Amino acid sequence: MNDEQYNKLIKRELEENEEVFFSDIKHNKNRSWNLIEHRLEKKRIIPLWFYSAAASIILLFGISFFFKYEMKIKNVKIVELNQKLAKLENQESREKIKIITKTDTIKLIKEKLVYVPVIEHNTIVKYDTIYQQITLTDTIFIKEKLPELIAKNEISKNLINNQNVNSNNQLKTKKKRRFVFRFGMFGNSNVEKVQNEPLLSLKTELK
Amino acid sequence: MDEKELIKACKRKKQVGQKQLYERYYDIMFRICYRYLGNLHDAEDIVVEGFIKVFEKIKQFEYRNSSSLKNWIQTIMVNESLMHLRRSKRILFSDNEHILEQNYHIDETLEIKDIHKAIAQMPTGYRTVFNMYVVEGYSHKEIAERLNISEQTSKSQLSRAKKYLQKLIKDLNYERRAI
Repeated sequence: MNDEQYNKLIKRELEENEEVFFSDIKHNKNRSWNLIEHRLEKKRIIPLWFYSAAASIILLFGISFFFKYEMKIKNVKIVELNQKLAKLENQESREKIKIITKTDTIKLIKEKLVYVPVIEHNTIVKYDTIYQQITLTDTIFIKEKLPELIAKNEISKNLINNQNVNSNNQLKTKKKRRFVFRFGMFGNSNVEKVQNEPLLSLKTELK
Repeated sequence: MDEKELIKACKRKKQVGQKQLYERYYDIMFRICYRYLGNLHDAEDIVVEGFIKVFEKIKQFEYRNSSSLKNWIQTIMVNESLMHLRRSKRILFSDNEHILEQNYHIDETLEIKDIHKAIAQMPTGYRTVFNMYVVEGYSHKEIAERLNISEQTSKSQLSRAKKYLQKLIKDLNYERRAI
């Protein structure tokens, strides 16, 4: 028997008579099917978990995108509002600058007694002997009270607003009484000193 | 349910279709697995694994003719059996690539049980190549590719398997005659 014949014979024997050999093991078929069924069931359950996980991830992404979009819109609004606010602030600061640049001049004036010449009379005395002329001058003075500028200072309007000085009259009375200005609302003694510096010098001068 | 309907049902994952397919092909597939693995328990396990794979991959299957489904399932079963053998490291091929020349003589009173017994008793390497070549009809080139061996090794394994089979059958006949 050659190689090919031998192969054919074995194959034929196996194919034709296999059922006889395997007839006694058919009872395992059901058990195997149960196993397959169980495994397939398990695999069907896994996709449910998979789908729910995938859905939750998609939902999460959706929500995050939505919030991101909302935030973007809000940010744009905030930027717009900030720009508007910046514009307003610019305007306000310009106005402030205007206020600061407005200055008032404070003048401290004291009445001073002066003798003002009113009539001046020249008398010419002639001496015949000596060709000489002597002029005598009589002057009549009038006593007058004239205002004398003692101090002058420029104070910005803003600064005035921050002080307790409400009116010019009040300021004047204070001037008359003590010759001291009170710029006490700053709280900072250094600032007060600097601010009051011309006034202090004035005070000493007056004393 | 004809084969086309059966495939459709399986593609839709309908249990009725899956059960019918299983009923139709279980016996053939079990025999194939048994021939490769040589024991009932392993064959049973691999049939289960094979059918699960069949139901999972059936979407990829394209119907061509009446035997295409059987051949496709058979290929899956053979692959699963070979994978199992590889995993359990039971395939050992002898390094001797010398092909034995022999004349075959088979007793006319040869019984199918003897062939099965003899095949089951063969070393795994012999049995695998013998099954692939003689029963499944693979060429030596295909066997070499599948088992990652040389063609020469495949040829020598086959010749040794045949010699082994002949010897086993002879012994079994002697035993029977002695009884």
